[in-house]
Amino acid sequence: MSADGDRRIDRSAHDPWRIGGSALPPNLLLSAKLLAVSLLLQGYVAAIPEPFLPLVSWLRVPRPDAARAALQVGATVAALLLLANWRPRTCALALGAILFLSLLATRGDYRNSKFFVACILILIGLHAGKASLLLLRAQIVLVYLGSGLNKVLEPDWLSGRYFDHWQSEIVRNPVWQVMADGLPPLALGRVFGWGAIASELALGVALAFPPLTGLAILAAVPLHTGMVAMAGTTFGIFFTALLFAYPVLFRWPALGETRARFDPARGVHRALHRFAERGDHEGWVAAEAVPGSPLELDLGGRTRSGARAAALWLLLTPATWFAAAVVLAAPAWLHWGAT
Amino acid sequence: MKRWSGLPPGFRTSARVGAALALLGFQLVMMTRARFDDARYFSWAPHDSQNEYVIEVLSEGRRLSDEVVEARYRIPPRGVDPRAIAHVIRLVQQYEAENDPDGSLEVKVRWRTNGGPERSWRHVR
Repeated sequence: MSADGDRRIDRSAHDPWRIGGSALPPNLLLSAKLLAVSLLLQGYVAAIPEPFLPLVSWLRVPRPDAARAALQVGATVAALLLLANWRPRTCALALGAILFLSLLATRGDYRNSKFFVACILILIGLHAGKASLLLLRAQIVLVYLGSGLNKVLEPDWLSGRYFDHWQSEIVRNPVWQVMADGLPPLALGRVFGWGAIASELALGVALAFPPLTGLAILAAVPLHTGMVAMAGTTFGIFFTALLFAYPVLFRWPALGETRARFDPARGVHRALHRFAERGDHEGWVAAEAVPGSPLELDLGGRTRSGARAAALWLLLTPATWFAAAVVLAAPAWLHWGAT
Repeated sequence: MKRWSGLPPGFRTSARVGAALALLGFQLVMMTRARFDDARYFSWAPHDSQNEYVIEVLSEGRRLSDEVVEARYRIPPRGVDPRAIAHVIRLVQQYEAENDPDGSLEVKVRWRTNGGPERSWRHVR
């Protein structure tokens, strides 16, 4: 089989898996689409409430039911058009603005997770070149540093009382009870409280520097996954949104910049190639079947092999991300840890 | 295709960057404000505290059911708010100010923050 690097003709301009060829860099369009899909799949668009007790008085509307319908329809249309690549920048901005408006219009519905999604979508929608990429990075740094600094200023977080009460009384985590039993009062809470604060501040600082971004995210993903497991909640859409915001911090390689070699005689290689072929409609990775070759991927003057090559190939395949969006929607469908 | 009614591209770029900066600036303002206010809106204070709360509403000495209270404020009448208890109190306060300015009902919010001592807030006329 020959190299298929020229496989770059899109099947359709409105192909939802397409992330190139728009006013947005591919990684930003991918992030925006993943957030839109997650909002739809996890029911956040359908759950936009009637405006009620707004945070700002001018959002008191005479017909809350009509306003809710307008917000829901607007968000649905913006999300679907975004997925169909119709003026994606405008649609991302509209979807983010609707979410933000909904938060302002309903005091009881305020959630940091929804605000985070709104901010990322708005900033993607306002994309205007390199400066915008810096501002998106600043947004994510601000969330980590702000969250860490807020905790530093909370005495209960520093004393261990917050974590201890949360895990033992609210979550009722049996593992926590066992671990805390053999320790002085609040000691475990202090370890976890200070650990969370240090992690958030360190991640905030690391993510501010592009060379440290990969390392920071490699640390952040297991950290957040652990927190989800400990808390028994996905913190609303926050866990999903963080994972899908991370692509804005990286440069997506140009078409033809990435080349993969695989051994067609090996089942795992063949399966990976087949998945990438079906899940990458634009040909971001030019794959070449080379009998007897190890799995290798060339990108940016470096060659990765084995598991690292496979992981990178998967990450450069849009379908991987959309599959993750479906998996991450499962807790919402199962009504697990909804808030 | 011409967008934004044909404004010059340089202006459009500046406007977009300016709007993005305004959004980030808004968050910085809210983060600063949160240091001087009990509420934590738009200030990146997730899981600020765990507040176990109960909202009680009495009409002529008779306590309204949880269903009625939930329908009134559109939040659970008892539960855990992982942000700031001020969010619950201000919601009740705003509802009462807008819908029952004469204070015909007696409204009380009781809560414990991070397992601490019980505290309460009462709506007064």
